[in-house]
This record gives sequence, C-alpha cells and structure tokens, in this order.
Amino acid sequence: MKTMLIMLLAYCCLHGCVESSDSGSSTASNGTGGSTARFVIQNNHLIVVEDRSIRSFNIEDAMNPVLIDETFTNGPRLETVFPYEDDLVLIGTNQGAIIVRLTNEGLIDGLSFASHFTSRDPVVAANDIMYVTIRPDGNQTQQVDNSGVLVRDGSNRLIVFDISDLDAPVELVQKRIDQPSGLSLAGDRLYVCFSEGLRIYDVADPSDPQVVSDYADFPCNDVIAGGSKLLATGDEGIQLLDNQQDVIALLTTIQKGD
Amino acid sequence: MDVRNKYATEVFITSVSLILGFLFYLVYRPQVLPFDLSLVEPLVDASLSLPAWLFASFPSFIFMPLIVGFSIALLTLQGFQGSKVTVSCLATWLGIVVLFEGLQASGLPYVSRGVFDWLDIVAAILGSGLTLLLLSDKGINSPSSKTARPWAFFPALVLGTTAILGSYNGPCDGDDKSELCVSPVVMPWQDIRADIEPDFSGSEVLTRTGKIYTLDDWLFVVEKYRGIHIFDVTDTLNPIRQLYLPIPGALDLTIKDGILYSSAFSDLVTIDLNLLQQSEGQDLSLSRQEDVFEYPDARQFYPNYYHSSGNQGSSNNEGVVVGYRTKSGKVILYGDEYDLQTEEQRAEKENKDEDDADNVACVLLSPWLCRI
Repeated sequence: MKTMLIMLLAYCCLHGCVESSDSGSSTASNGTGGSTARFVIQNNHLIVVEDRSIRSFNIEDAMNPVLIDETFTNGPRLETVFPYEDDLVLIGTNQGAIIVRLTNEGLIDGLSFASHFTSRDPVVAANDIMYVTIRPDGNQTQQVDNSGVLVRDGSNRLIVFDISDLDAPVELVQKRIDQPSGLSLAGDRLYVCFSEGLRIYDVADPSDPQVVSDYADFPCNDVIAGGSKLLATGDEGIQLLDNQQDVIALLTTIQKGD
Repeated sequence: MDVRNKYATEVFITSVSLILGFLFYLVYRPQVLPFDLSLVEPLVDASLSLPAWLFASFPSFIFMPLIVGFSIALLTLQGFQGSKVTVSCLATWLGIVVLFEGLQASGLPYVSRGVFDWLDIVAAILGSGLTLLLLSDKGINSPSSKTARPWAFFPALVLGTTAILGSYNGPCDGDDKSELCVSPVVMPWQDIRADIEPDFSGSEVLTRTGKIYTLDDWLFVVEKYRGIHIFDVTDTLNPIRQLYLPIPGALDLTIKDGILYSSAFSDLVTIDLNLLQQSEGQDLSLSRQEDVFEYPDARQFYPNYYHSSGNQGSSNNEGVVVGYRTKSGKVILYGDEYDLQTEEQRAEKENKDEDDADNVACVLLSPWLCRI
C-alpha cells in the first residue's frame, strides 16, 4: 500500500492532477480543500490567511517556501481563502468577502470588498459568480425563543454576487438558510452545509438558486463536491457520499476513534 | 482647615485609590473580579508589566489610602478630625492588615488561603506613610469627650473587610483546591520542532476532525493541533489509513506537486510526500519556516469558566501555551472537551464540610472587626 501511495503521488506530479469537472472547487492546486480552508495554492504561491493577516509564500523552490508578502488588517477577521481564476483569491471574513489580486510576483493587492452583516462566511466562486454563506457569530446563534425558533436569523443567508466587475461586486440575490457554513460548487449544483444537514441548490440561473433537496442525514461544517463523490466534514468525522444526479447516499464514515 | 475642604481631600484620596486598585485588578487579576470582563478585555493592554514584587504587593499598598481615606471621611462627617484621628485610624487599619497577613501564615481555614508575604506588610506600611502625608493636618483636634457612634463605621468596615477578604481569598491563591483553578501547559519549542516521524502502524485514531483535503483517491484529515491522517479512499466503502503525520499545531494544509504544506503553530512545515517511502526508517524530507505565523491565542484552549493561578500564560521564547492543568493535575490540551463545571461540583461536594467551617470562621471574625 505504501508503494501504491508513492506511485499515485508520483503520478499526480507528472500529470498535474487537476480535476476537470468541477469548476467551483479549489482546483488551482493539485487537490481540493474545503471552502473553510486557510491554506491555498494560487499562481504558484502559497496563500495563508490568519485572523488578521494574509501571507504569500513563493514556492518555486517547493521545499523552501519564502515569505514574500504579508498584509495585516485590524478590521474584519479573516476566515477562509478560495483561489479564483488565475490571479485572485477570495477571502471570507466576518464582515464580508474580500477579493484580492496577486501580482505575478505573488504580492498582495487588495481589491474590493463585498460588505454585509457581521457574520461568519466561507466563499466560493466560478464564472463571475461568487457565493457566500453568512451566519451569525457564535454567541448570537443561541438566541431562540420559547418555542425554539431562532429569533435572530436576519443574517442567516446565502448571498450570490456577480463579480464580473471585480471592483464593484453586484449582489444578485439573497436566500434564507438556517446556520449555513461550508459550501462547494460543482457545475450547476451548489452544496451548502446548514443546521439541518446538507442542501443542494440548482444554480443554473445564479440569480435564482432553487433548492433541489435537503439531506438531514448528513450534518456537516464543510463539504467538497467532486464528480460523483461528496465529502462532508463535521465535528464527529467525515462522511464519504455517493452523488448520482442529486441522489445522495452514504458510502462510509470515518469517525472519531477510527 | 475648613471641614468641607478636608472632607473633599479624603473623598479624593479614597476615589483615586479605588480607581487605581480597580485598574490593577482589571489588568492583573481579572479572574478575581466578580463580573464578566469580556467586553473591556480588548481595552486592557496585557503587555503592561510590573516587576513581580510590585505586582504582588500593590493591593496591600493601595488598600491603606483607600480604607483610611474612607474611614476618616466618615469620621469627618461626624465632626471628628485632626492628626490624632488620622493616626489612630491608620494604626487600626494597619493592625488589621498585619493581623490578616499573619493569619495567612497561620494555616487557619478561609483566612489562610492567601499567601503570606513580608512585602505585603512593608507595602501596607508604605501605603500608610503615603496616607499620612496626604492627610497630615495640624489643625484642630476634635473634642476628646465626644464618642463616635459605632454604626457610623459600618460602611468603612464593610468596604475594608470585603477588600481584605476579597483580595486575600482570590481564587487559586495559596492552597485553593478548586478544579476551576487552572494553570497553563506550555509545549516547549524543542518538542514542537522535534523530528516528525510518520506513523505507518495505523494505530493513531481520529479524535478531533479538522480541515480535510482530497487528492485523487487520497484523503487528508487534520487532527486538530496534533497532526494529519492520510487515508486511501480508493475503495469508498472501506477507506484505509495509510499513515499519520504527527505535526504539533497542525490546523491547515494544502498540497502542490506532492509537496505538503501544513501549519504547525507559528511555523510552516513542508513535507515531501514523494519521498515518504524512502524515508522509512530515516528522517522525513522536511523543512520548517519558523515563526512565520501568529501564536495561537492561549485563551481558546481554556475552559469557559476558569480561575487561573496568577496568569493564563502566553506563548513566548519558552514555547506555546497548548492547554491547562487543573488543580488535581489533569492536563487538558487544545481545548479538548472536559467538563470542568461537573468536576468542580464534584469537588465542591467533597469539600462541603470544610466550607461550613470556613463560614463559621467568617462569622466569628466579624464581631472582632467591629471593635475598631
């Protein structure tokens, strides 16, 4: 098995390993991370976000990354980073998504800010359309009334932006969704983790996302869609899911103690 | 001197002392204060550092002008003033402070939880000197025939005893056995940066799922703050753990051309997966960029309701704060789940008898304190 691993990895190196079918996943690197990732590869640079900083490393000499740029913010708290097109990264913050351009040298060049409510929000994008999920910060999520209904759900949303003009993102639509977190885009399907499990939207028309189905059996914080497979991660472990034309079935679970 | 002016001086001294004392506790001993400080916390610059001896004895110092100023203000209200009043009031409170400090060394319950320190007494004497200087007044002494009404001292007594007992019984001082009394656990840099030995045994289990990353039929799962599991998911019904990379501080990863980049607290770790096989039995092909990221916030590893002994520690040249140790010696790392409240309740039940004895001691002490 070890030999197999090495062979596979060697194969990946030779062939680039770029997944072709999934326009929305982080395919700029060899593999795929989730929408909540803080490490991504973009344009031969390693981009890392922390709460208050963005750092860019030159990895031309792969085993010896060199820090070439860092930007600090005392405004929004940075949470996720998603590579987009050839030279952009989309940063999910607690105050909105920031679109950042990288120069050829990997220098960070702040671009535009799609602002909204204070929230947590991962972000994904493809073909000029950016999807952001926003949810209240942790301390607000507990606000339920006596009947258990969320009182403060004003900022539980999926928001779709047209980012064809990077300097001026245009909000297309907002959809109510309870406690959304990670999301993943594959073709015209958008997969979103939320309080009641996993939701599939049809985003063939991005300005009018339609709920295809909800799967309560698959609670998750983040999801990675690719081909006929889905990976859903939660606090308790990872679920490998089979996805055949919007019909999702559990293949296996890697959970605590495994 | 005019009575009104004198009164103003005393109130001023009391107020300034109170504010200074409060600020001290806000910055250095927030865990003692009886209210939630999460709102003001960001305003407090924790990097302010006093020398240790000053840190420990400042409360004793500031207590004197605070309580004596307040007592004399009450006396002035009743028409008592003058240097005699000042000196006797000072002497009384100094006596009380010394007595309590002595009791701390005595081993008696309740009052002995604080730490006896000669410097506290020295600080109290210095505080008295300062107070005397501020309040020195050669003016008229009050008529000696007049007798103060005992109830008039009640506010001063309440303030004084609360301050003394409140301070001296700060959580986690001395022998406090509360489970909520925790101390930081620091992982030294040589452990964090020790050689990473890939584990092919498959014996490491998933405990806290972090970020995931997929690469063809390989699934990388971060074990929060501890390492990275690598699964072969070729057979989707039966994923097989291939290896585990123990990387202290790992939270995020990405891969390019078979090179894995992972966070490791404030370091960036680079591992050549292509060479993993050859590395069996020898060192991993690895490089480490030190201190390119922030230290983790130590507070996130602490339980919600805790009292720390002294301070909660911070990551520095020694290492990184990775968790806490309870009084009973239990070590909880990386904010792993652990029901401290329940532990506390259990411990409280066991100590109930002792607590009853403490209450008796308090009740017994109060009448003595009233004899000012």
